[in-house]
Amino acid sequence: MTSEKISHRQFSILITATIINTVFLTLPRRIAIAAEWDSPFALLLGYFGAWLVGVFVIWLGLKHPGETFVSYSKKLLGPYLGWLFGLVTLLAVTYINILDIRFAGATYIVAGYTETPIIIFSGATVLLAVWMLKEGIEALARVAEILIVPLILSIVLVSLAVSPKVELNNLLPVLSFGIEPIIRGAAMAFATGLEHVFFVGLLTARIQELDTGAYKYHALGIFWGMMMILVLLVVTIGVFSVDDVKRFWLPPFQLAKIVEIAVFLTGIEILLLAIWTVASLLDVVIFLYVSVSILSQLLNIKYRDIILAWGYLLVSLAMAPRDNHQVEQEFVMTTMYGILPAALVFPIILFPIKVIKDRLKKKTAT
Amino acid sequence: MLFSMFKRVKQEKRECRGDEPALPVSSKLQKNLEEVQRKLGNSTDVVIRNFPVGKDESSQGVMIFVDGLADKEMIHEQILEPLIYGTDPAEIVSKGLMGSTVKKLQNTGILVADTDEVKCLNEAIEKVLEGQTLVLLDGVPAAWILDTRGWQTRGIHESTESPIIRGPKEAFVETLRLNTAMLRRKIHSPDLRIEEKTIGKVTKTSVAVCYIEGIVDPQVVKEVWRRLNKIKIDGILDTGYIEELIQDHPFTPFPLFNHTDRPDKVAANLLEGRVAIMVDGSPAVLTAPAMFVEFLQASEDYYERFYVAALLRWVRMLALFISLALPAIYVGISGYHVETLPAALMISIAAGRSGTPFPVAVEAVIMGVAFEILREAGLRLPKQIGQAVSIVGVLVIGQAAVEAGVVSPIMIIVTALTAVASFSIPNYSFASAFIPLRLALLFMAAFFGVFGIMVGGVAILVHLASLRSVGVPYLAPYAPMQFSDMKDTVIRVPWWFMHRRPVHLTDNEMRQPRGQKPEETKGEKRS
Repeated sequence: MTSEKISHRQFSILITATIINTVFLTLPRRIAIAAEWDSPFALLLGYFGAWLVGVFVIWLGLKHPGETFVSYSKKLLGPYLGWLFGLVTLLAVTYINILDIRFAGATYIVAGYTETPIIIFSGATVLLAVWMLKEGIEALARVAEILIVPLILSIVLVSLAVSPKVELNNLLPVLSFGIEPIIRGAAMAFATGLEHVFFVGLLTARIQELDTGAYKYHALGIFWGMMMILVLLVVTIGVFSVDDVKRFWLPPFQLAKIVEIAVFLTGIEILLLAIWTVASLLDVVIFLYVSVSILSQLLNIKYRDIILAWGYLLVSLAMAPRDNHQVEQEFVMTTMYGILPAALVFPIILFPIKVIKDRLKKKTAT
Repeated sequence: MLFSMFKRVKQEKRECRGDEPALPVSSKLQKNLEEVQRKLGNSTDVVIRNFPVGKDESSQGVMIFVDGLADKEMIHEQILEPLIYGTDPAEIVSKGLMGSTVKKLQNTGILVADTDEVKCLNEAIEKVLEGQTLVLLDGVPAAWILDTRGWQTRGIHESTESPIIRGPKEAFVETLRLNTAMLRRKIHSPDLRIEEKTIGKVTKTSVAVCYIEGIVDPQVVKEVWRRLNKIKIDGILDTGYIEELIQDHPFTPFPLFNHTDRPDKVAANLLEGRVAIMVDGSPAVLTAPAMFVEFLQASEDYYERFYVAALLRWVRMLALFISLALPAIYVGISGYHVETLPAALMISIAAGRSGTPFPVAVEAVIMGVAFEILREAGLRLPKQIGQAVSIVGVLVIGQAAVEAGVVSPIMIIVTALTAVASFSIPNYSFASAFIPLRLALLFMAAFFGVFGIMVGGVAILVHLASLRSVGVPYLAPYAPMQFSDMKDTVIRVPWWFMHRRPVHLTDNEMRQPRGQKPEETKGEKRS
């Protein structure tokens, strides 16, 4: 266990960064395909569910101060099952991490760097992420505190800049196909939102003076992250219509293309993309931290010793997908069939076991 | 004073300090003299003066001091004369320098305030080399040290490092004692602590650590002393030596200690809970912990209206950004993302660049390097010649290069703006840290466009986030975020609103009570 500690506020900001990551670029399209005009409701519902699961993880963290989910799951499930749970989580998170690394590079190809090999972008992002993690979780938290500001500002400013072009008709009709699209979209948003719970499961061990205040800061982190995605979702659908959003690979990028500031300043999508590089980086670094932390705890080694090799193993694996559509499909598959079941272990299995164990302990004590 | 001196002299035999073998003072004057001469060699500035002791001249004594470091007039009038005419050799021999003899010596006319008795010749010689006077008497196995330090010093002048229009003008000088006095003149509190130690095996330089007890974090003082005590070096000639030896991160280009030659700035830093380190022989005083935002603040910010101060801080931040990133942004955008520029500007740049032989990145590097050469030449040369170099530089590099079609006019604008912006940063060391970073960012922009700038920018940020100054995060109060400390960062709130000291620096947060906002008087008629 390292002595590195983060504050409650940093915890909250890291959660916001995990929620926004690159999801704000990709989720509008994915959720629009599933929930059509009901996407905003689906998003709210899905993220509410993700927040709820996070609450269980914090509860478990409070019950095991100074321990990550990898170590306390071994206590609750037994050494072998606990190790297996860690391994399954590692596989799911690593796969998401690989896709994130690929995505970090692919965004730039889409943005016009067509002649530069994708590995340059992905490699540079991973190199930065590795360096950041070598400096430790404290440095990562401080970087996130700074970078979250331009990221949120860019989302808010883009939304404000295009708000006159929003047509209310594009957002209507809601609930015209009943509740089913909302459920479909919410399931996707829920699975995507659940990505953050593993990070929470690791971070609770690093919070300075961990107490019930963690619930509040977790909720705040989720709220601000979700709000950013919601704002972009509403604006993209409002400006382009659901059909167009389903067609675009990165709807917010298309949104940035139509931004006009003071008539003479156009084509700022590149500058916004530069800011959104930050989102890619935070995404990669957070999931790299989660994956390498789980791996190091499973193997009982220091994560700093393996981070460089691990990072570049993931870069090479990230070059495997054929194209961006395959990346997108695999994102959906991994979140639905990897992240979702692994995250649900916390409320469905670990939480009841802990409650039962505590009660049994109390009974034997009395 | 006399009592303390008496007590000091009464102290029993002390151990010789330092690495060299102990050399106790002998009762035979000749032997002592030989040892001193052996140690000091034939240095022409060392004065060895034999004199008879007492009115009957029955005993001998010797006085040793360094010409130029000691006050000769004082030696003659306050020491030599009373020693020759006012001492009783028999009593000195029988009682040494102890007890009543010292009292008698003082009473008979030696009016030196600070005296000491040492039993070790090595220590006595060290003190002679500091400017004190050594008196050895035949038959007395002790050396008498009299503080006669007095040398020519540079007068107190206006600060050259950070001159200001409004506020105190005085600056530190090269004499440590004068510098500590200047600090005492600013802070009359008995809690101001000035602790000293000698560092440097050869130079034996005095280093002082100053702080205000009760405001400073004791852990910071402890840590500073721990680091200072670890230093083993032959010489310390400036605070820069100390800075490099005790900073938290050895390879960072950023200064982790602030330095200034302004007593008011040091006093303000101490009042916020920082520690100051002074070195004898240097007017630059280090203060720590130092934080990133601190380097963008000037003393004048606190003496001018707070609106103006806040505005100027924003201007400096903009200047910092321009000095770091403008050449890179120009290269990145004109090389990769020209479509982001307004059409008129795009055409203007294209027209200016037509006919220039080099790619834009090469042009930027050439101009950047040329500017650094000019700046270096201007700094190192005497003032008059430096100005001439600047004029030649502007004419040759600027006008002639454009007319010859070697570089584009827009590149001259970019380079000039970068140069002027870099001069707007109040701290020279801090501004210098951005020179290699500017170049690195330029290369990143040349190879990867805006993506390269972002990667480079984030890399700088990661590095900054990992830095600490004496344990305090360098990016505080932004990362870790502390809202209460932001009142004196990119803005400066009025003094009546600055109730608390920075919490990152001290646990004694309360600076002043609330409710000091001046009352606004409206509509009151005066008869």
